[in-house]
Amino acid sequence: MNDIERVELNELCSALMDDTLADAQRSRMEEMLLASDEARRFYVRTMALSASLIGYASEMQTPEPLNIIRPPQWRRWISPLAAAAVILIGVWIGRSLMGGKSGDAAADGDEMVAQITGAKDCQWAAATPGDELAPGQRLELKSGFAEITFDSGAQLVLEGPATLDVRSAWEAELQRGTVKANVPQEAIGFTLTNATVQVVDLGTEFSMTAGDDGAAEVFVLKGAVEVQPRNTGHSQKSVLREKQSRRFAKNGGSEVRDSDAKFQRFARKIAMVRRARPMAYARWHFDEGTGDVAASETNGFSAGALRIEGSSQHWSEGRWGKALAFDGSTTAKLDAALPRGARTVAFWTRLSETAPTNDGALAGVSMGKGTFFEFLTNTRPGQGTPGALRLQSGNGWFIGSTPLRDGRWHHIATVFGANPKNATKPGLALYVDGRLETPSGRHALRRSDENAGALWLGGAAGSSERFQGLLDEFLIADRQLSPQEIRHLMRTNQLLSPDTVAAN
Amino acid sequence: MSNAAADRTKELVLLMTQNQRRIFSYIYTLVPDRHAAEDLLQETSLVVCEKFGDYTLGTDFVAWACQIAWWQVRASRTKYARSKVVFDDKVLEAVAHTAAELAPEQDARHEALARCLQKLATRDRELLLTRYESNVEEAARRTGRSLVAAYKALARLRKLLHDCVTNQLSSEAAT
Repeated sequence: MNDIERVELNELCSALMDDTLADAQRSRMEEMLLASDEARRFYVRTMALSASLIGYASEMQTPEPLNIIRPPQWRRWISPLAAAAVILIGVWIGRSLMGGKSGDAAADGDEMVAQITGAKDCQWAAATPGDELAPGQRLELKSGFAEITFDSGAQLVLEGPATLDVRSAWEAELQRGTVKANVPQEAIGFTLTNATVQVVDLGTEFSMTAGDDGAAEVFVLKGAVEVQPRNTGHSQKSVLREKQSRRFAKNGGSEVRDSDAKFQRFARKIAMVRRARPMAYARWHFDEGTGDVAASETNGFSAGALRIEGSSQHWSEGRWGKALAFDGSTTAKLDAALPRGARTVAFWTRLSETAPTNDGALAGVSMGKGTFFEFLTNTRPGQGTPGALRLQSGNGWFIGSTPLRDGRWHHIATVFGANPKNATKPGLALYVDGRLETPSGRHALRRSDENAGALWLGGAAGSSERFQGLLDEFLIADRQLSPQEIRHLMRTNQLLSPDTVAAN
Repeated sequence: MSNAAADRTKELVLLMTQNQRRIFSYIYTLVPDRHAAEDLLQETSLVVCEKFGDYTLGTDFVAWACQIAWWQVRASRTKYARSKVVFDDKVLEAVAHTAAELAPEQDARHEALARCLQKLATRDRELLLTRYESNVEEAARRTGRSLVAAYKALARLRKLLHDCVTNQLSSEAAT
């Protein structure tokens, strides 16, 4: 192909994608594609570039994270996982709180797994629940609407009168009333149950109403869900798709009456009232690309520049702009102590498959009320998935389940929660690439006062082991980021402003 | 449900979540209409679920899934009167062959594209992203261009990005 043919083929490709290709042009295009391997390569790369742009455009579009009416199109992509996701539920426990003893799974019940994030004309039947919800907690709404955001990222709008039991970050049970669920890609597998049916969301939007007679009706507004009747002889799983509905009673399934009118009712948008949640933060973009200082961008969280030590080659292409490269001798640290502990730590990292497996820490951060965490990759197969992110505090650890050593960029977010039932044990949630991780291992994390106010990258001063890999866009914030905020940060490298959160 | 079956399902969900973009890209290359390609991806995913028993762990999942996608694309032409498959069989087959051949480089190209996008002027980037987020009309309106100018600019920008991605990768390979 010469340059003129290249320009011609590019124009033909654009006409094809923009739907303006005339018949004569199509013939010409076919002729070119058949004649030359180079032309086919050009074509395939141009189309793949467009496919990538479709993905980037839906990631970068103006966020509507709390708008439950119109989720971005790409969420549909994942929906046909059909029968698959349900079985995972048994394995997923949700956010975990670290037990005092090794393998102390009984402590799971202490953690917070969801939050009340919005309300409208909301009247509670019993006591008003707190903002944070624990597994086993029952919500009794007398009237109005309440929005509940689970740590998995699933979001439910409960319409009173209604009773809902929170089971975990991945499951809730509707006793009666109406609920509308919006489940993003990262929360696929979220399950809503009722006495008569179990609904597993495959990345979509659906509603469920449960009557006092125990029967439930399921309406799929977008995408698809998997439904499985409970307590009947033949509990065959099936998939309900967009605009389909089904009624489940003790004696079996049937059509929904007045289905159209009900669908219309669920299409209404509820204007939720949300509390503004101001946030102080500090970020290091690592876009300098030269020198020994990484400047910070701060908003109410005074943390200055990081001073970089070690070899002189410590910059690289990053996930966004440049990144800090650690070659086995590089470290970076703050000169002054942090004024208070971080509640959220987020960053991008890339580790090559061939990076040495040592205990060189990516970072050490003072979090919460005086609990110091080191971020490492796990090197002890007996304690959890090898190569997954490992948070170490004193003798305790918390290990994620996604191996990170694959030469790709991964987004890591760690949210440090309060634990109202036991102040000496921190609550912790780890998101990898926007998805809440089930820990593959954990042991005895406790609060302690060591290293209060410290922040360093690449390896501890007292240790000779050094991290090898890339770090980019390091952020600390003084409050917990919601699953939506984490996803938004991951996709756009921008924080949702409090105004945006409040206005939605 | 046995543990083995649960593990198997976990593998499937993981593989699909990790690779859906790659499979979508393959389908879109054969059927360059976003909505048609998304529908085909859904259908492909269902077949992948059904046939997952045939897949051997550790082998190339994307290649296996793309094979399934290929048959879905072929079938869609006979199934739907208004199929979005534009090329005749011979061309389609040749393109599919090249797409499979180039699959290994797609991740690097996808990542390089993000860097190239950052280099565009804001107005150009907005035109491009709005085009893919909604449509050409909206993209023209939002960037203050006539429709004809928007079509022209889109073709120019795609070529620019294509070259930028290729340059990025060859300069990376050189260092």
